[in-house]
Amino acid sequence: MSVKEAGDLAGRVLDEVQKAVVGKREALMLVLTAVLAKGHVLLEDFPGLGKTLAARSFARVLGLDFARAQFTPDLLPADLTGSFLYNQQRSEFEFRPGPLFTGLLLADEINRTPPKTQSALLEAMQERQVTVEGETFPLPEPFHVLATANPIEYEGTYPLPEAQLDRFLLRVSFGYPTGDEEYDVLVRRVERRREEVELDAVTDAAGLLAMQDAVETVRVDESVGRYCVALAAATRAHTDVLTGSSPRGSLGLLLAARGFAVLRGRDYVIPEDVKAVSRPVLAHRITVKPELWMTSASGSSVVDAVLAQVPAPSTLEARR
Amino acid sequence: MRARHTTSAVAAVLAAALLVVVLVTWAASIGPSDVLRGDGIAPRRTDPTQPATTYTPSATTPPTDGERLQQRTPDGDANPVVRAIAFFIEIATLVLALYLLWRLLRWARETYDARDRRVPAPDDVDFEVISAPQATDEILADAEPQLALLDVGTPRNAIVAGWHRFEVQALAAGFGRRHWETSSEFTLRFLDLVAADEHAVSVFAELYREARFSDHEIGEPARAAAREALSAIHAGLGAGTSGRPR
Repeated sequence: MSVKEAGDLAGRVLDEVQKAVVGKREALMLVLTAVLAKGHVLLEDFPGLGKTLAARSFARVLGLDFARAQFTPDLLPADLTGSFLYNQQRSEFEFRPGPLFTGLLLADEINRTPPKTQSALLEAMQERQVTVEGETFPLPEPFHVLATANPIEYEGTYPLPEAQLDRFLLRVSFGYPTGDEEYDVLVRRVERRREEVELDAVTDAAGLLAMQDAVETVRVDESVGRYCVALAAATRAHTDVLTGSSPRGSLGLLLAARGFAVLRGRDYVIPEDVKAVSRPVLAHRITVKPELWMTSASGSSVVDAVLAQVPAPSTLEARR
Repeated sequence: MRARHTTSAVAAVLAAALLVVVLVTWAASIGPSDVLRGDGIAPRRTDPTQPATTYTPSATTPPTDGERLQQRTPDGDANPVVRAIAFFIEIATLVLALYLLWRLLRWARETYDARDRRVPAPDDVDFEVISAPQATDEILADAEPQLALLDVGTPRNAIVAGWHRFEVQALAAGFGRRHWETSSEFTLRFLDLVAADEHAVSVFAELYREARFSDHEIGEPARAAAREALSAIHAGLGAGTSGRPR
């Protein structure tokens, strides 16, 4: 599949998802960007803004198997990975896979489960395999996690530590819809006369893998790659920052920018692609100094400041 | 505003620490006997009319004033152990004071350096003082050399050079590129200011991006397309100025 075909297909995926999720084209583009870049997404927003609907819609439209795991305080790692059960007919233990063995996993309210279970999921995200009782099981390809978290509730939650947040390629917020968009939600619901939205699969797992292969062919000029590195490094030197982005952040910038370029139908990355994904890629990898907790300083504000400091690639650099 | 709050908080903490250090230094320097004056709470006396069944004079009789004076050294200070402790406290306080002073000086120097490193806010944050007619005149005056750039060298370099010429024209018109701005962002902003032909600008911008950041083969058709787009931009601007009073 060529980059142009992948871009066209991605556009059709977005159009179809937007039948269910009204507006929010930019947020949906970012989610698809992460999927194309073989990454995982943390959807952090208030309840009722369509996070679960978006995840289910993407799974349906991308033709992936979908599983949802509600992360509760009593969820155990084995509930996610699966476990060995005794088969009396065969007189042997056999592995019963958990919800991790799917194409797209919705990890709902990931910060409500204890760190032990969180780390089991995050390890699977990173390694794309799980090990149960010494036996390793590879996860299906493609495998993507869309995790949701509620940013305002702290009682009974276990916030993800920075090292684990780093595993998410992007953190995306949907935000409240505009008045017109919200009214559109009501109108659509009334018109279809039922709760669920019927969506058509635009592609399948093989199609998504082909799109991801196309992303791998996208060219990144040296000046753009160095721009990614400079942005990540600048977060470490910012005066408001306790811990800046790791090198995984600059790599994430590059990978996400390539996915974004494909969505735009280009097989090369331009600096504007990097700027477009820098906030969702870098903001959650930055820890602001604790003494600034009462101020407006945040990971996003640091990224904005860094974007207004780091020199962009020059106009005439490439002489060939 | 936030920086000022942080500075105030740091200054308050430092002032409080300094006050404590001064007080401790003063207390250590004059010795505990002068800091804690007086005889303390008077010992409870027993009633002489009551029989002292468990009274043991050697263990509980409070010392007289004369006995207290005898415990002091001839120069009026506490005994040598107390003096040694006071001396060590004094030394420790001095070391602490020097350390805090060093930290204060280092913080002040870092703050000063950070202020030096801070990028000065551009004067044109909210509005551009440049006028559109001035920018248009700059572009039109440079139209021929800009078109000529598209004929020089490989198509890739020619397109990039032709696009870059807009930056030169903008600078001549007093419209500088911010260092964090990409070339496309800046040039599109500049051409938007002069209300250039949007379609032609879009075509030229795409050609520039492809020439600058892709490894595609950029051939003569791309050069011709860039020349056509640039001519359309110039023509559009020229048409706009034809009715303008000079």
